[in-house]
Amino acid sequence: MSILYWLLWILLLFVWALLVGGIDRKIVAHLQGRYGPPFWQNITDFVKLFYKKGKVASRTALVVIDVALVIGVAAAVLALSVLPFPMGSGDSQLLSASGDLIIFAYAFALMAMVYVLIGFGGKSPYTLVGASREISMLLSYEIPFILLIVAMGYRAVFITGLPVESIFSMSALLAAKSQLGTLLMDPIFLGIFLVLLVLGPAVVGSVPFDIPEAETEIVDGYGAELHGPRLGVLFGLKHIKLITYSYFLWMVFVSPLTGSVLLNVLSALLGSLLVAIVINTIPRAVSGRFRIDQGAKFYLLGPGLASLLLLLLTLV
Amino acid sequence: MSIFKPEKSLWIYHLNTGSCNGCDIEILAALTPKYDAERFGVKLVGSPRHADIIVATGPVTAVAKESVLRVIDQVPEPKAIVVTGVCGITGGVFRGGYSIAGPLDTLVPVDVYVFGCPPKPEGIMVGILKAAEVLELKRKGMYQKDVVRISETGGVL
Ligand code: SF4
Repeated sequence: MSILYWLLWILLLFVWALLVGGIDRKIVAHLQGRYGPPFWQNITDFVKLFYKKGKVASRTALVVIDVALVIGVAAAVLALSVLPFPMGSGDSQLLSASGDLIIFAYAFALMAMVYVLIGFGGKSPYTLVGASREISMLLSYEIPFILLIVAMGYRAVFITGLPVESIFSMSALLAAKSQLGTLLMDPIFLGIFLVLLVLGPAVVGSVPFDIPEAETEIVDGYGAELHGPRLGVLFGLKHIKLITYSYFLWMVFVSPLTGSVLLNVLSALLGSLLVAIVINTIPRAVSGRFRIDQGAKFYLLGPGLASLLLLLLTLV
Repeated sequence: MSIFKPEKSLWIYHLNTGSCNGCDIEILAALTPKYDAERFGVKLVGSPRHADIIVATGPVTAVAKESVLRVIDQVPEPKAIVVTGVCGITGGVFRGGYSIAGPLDTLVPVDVYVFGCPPKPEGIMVGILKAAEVLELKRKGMYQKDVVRISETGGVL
């Protein structure tokens, strides 16, 4: 029963991810003083890509790309399966084990590696440059991200007084949340939340850190050789990545607990939209794209040092 | 339902085959907030493999011919080709020049002509929307191979 409910929930979340992409385009359009596309535009784009039939370049390694896309979908499902999902009695997880926080972080790194694989599979100069830029970005934001995950694990055990085995488990975080009301009441968790928000654009690959897929310089980077249904899967994967990250930030740190399923579902959807607007729409509307060295330096010096500091604070 | 209609999502690829840059500026003007092409689902993409519609300018120079044909070949079906500017349609002032291999319709079938030197952004917008109709006919298998002619201000000729 619970798995059926969960499947329905991730389907809903996927449609919501596409809608969030459209709402994002609508908001940016209104900020620039135009009407913009209808807010379901990204659903239309997604469906359209499955109608297209094109020729594949002879140098392209299709096997690598297909395997990468399957891994990407699997990683997205994995990340969503350890995240809490809204039920009548509060949040529950489909899969829960000690160490599932690490699984979550790993699934995110895997999704970035999928882009790298697609880039190397494309074998055109543009996709190769896109892939190498993705690796540089991954190295610069993954270090602060992992440090923050470790800090979250320690802090949750410290607050709840659970045994050390439950360090790095989502359930410890949820227990800490139900103890505090919302994790933002704790100053260290508040700091972690803010740094994770700053990491957001790089993790989900949105402007100003969409350096690996700069469409005006390197013709869409790693995805340049994809078309038709494969491009559609990549398009969906990008949306799922954005919604998963926003959903993680909202569900683990903020979402208030109520007794009704409907309210919990609404809060999850609207909350993830809010976080997605903060980490995707606003940077996109106010800023241009960075160079790769600026991006890497920014993440290693800003969030990198901040996350180190937060980790030290949780340990003392 | 129009949500699931593929012709409501038009990804365009801007192909310069050797134009004087006048038409290219007008294409970019059609994408600016004043004309707001995005409200019809138009998005400028960087790779021809992502495109639905090619918006081509220029008379196709001999040097560019090979690359132009390869780029057009890379666009997945169903696709539509819009030629903007007189020199893409007939060769214009460059017609008969020693370095000209075009115009484009002698090399590949073209679906929409937008006249003008350069056409106004309104004309280019109408051209793109007519190309969407062509795409729909192609998807339904009812395509008649007629070329649509658009005046520089957007009237159908
Ligand atoms: S039609 Fe006129 S403006 Fe356009 S490329 Fe040709 S010469 Fe330039």
